[in-house]
Amino acid sequence: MALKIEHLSGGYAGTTVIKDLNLTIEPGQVLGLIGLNGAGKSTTIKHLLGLLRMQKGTISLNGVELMQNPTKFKQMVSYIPETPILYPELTLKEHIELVMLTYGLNQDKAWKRAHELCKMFRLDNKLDWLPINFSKGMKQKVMLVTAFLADSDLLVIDEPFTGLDPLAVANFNDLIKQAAAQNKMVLMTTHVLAQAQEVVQKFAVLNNGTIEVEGSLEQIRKHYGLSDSESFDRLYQILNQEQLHHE
Amino acid sequence: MNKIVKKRLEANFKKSMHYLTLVFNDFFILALIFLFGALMFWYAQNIKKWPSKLWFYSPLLALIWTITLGLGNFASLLQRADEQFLFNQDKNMKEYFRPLYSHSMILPTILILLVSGLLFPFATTRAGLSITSFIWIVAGLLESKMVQFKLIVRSFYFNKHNYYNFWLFMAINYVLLVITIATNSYSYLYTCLMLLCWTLVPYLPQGHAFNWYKAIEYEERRQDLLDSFYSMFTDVPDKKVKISRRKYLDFLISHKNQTPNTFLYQRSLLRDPEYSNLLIRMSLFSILLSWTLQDCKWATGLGALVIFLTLYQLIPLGTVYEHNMMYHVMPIERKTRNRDLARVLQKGMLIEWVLIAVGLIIFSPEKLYAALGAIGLLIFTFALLYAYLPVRIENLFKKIRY
Repeated sequence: MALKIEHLSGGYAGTTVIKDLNLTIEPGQVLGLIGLNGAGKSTTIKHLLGLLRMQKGTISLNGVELMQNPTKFKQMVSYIPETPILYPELTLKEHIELVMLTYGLNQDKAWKRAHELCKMFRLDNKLDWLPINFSKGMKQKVMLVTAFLADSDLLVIDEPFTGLDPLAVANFNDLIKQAAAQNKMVLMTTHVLAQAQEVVQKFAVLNNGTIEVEGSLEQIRKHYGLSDSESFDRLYQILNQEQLHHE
Repeated sequence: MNKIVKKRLEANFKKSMHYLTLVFNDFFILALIFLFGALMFWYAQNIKKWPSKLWFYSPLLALIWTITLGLGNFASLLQRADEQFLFNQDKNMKEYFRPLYSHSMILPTILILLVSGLLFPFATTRAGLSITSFIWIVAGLLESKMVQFKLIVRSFYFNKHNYYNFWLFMAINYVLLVITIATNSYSYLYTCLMLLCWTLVPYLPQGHAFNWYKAIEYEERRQDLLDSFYSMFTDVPDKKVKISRRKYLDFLISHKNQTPNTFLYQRSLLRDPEYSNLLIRMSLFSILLSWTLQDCKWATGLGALVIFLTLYQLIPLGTVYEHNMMYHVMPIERKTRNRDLARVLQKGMLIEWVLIAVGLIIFSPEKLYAALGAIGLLIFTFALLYAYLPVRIENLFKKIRY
């Protein structure tokens, strides 16, 4: 029972962005995938969601291989993109109904949960709204509501803190902690390391399309020679210097 | 600013030419010549029969001219990004707008001259307008259009007072035109008044700050209107789709045996104007044909053509979610997609058949033949839905690469 990415190589047509990437997320683990812009975080996520064709390697979740059985694999995955992507023709209520339909959720239980989530993100009186009526932050909250409603084994979250107010960030962190306590797996990419530290148990540093180092916060600090007094954000300066040296 | 506006004018000209060549294709030109010829023939035959100087001629002429005056917007060619990149250029906007007045006047000038040309025989022989008065009015209309554009541009600034209201502008022009046509010999007063307005508008107090939001909204609305016109003839990739909630149509949504695909396609068909408007427009067109033809054989035949054309244009509904990432991320079964799309289109087409059949029966003088025609149309619709549609859907999804 885990997410296993093994020897993944891939990218866009003709360009290899990810090179022999290996990553495992155990149940109950929240993994923060960090790296500079262009390091390959979004490409990794796109491969994980089956949006890009892999050149090499395998991706499996709880023993189900993405390429062998994509629908069953996706049944266990929820995704929150950095920029909210909603169906323009569906109201918030219908987005919730669609999630229930696609993930085969029990209607009564799911509606109870949906109401809780909508209330948490102050969307409970906007069930009949179309996405065109929502602000960017509200749209992001709709993404959170639908993703957490699906109750999937793996949550893939791209830059979760973008566009959210502090109250929503606090609620989001609580939901992540709850998910981890329920043995769910979470893969999160972020640049806001100070906020991510609150929920992430293990970090993986992606550099030039491969995982350079993974481990706890202390292990990462130690690897890059960061003292306790130095901000974790200094990691980016070090990665940048490494990249310049590499070039 | 001069360079920017020149570049935009060039790009806009290229875009307009591209779409206009597609709109005015050979078939459309032929249809236009045919329709225009028919209209002119009818006009020439009937104008002789119309009595002279009836009381409603001046309000009627004024109305036609006022409607023509309302056509054509000021093309500011502003873009959403200008809010960000040109926001400190408020002072230079006057310079930016200068070449755009003449550019924006092209379409209104053509329309005013064309409509006036058509009205000329009627206005001079039946409404009793002298040729000189007629010329004065046409000149006044062109000036009025320029005044309108000046006021629009002025309203793009944060002013103390609102200088422009479309309906008020039209109402004033309508009243002035009615008076001008009725008085006949003083028609130059309308022209002089418009000339005076045109001279005075630049002296109206104007705010210093440019209202970027308002100006860009105006331009986006104008572009949208233009794209909607082009999209009636060809595919317009830039066209923004405005989804409408249309709660009153929710009763048409089926909740039984739903799959994620039918769930999505049903809502798209009802709320995406590209598809719902097509269904409504085509149904109305067929009803209109039944009403004007008053012949159930012709109306049935053309109804069948309308049903086929509607279905043909509705099939791309299947690809509406291809560019939505969440559609590919969510566990939505692809194997049943063909069947799901067909189910939704079957329902849509049967609704269209009901509308066409009702129109046919109501407007045809021979009710029995009309009912038989409606049954014939139903058989034709079923044949299309069960023999033609599955093949077309199969081909549609084959074209999509993953």
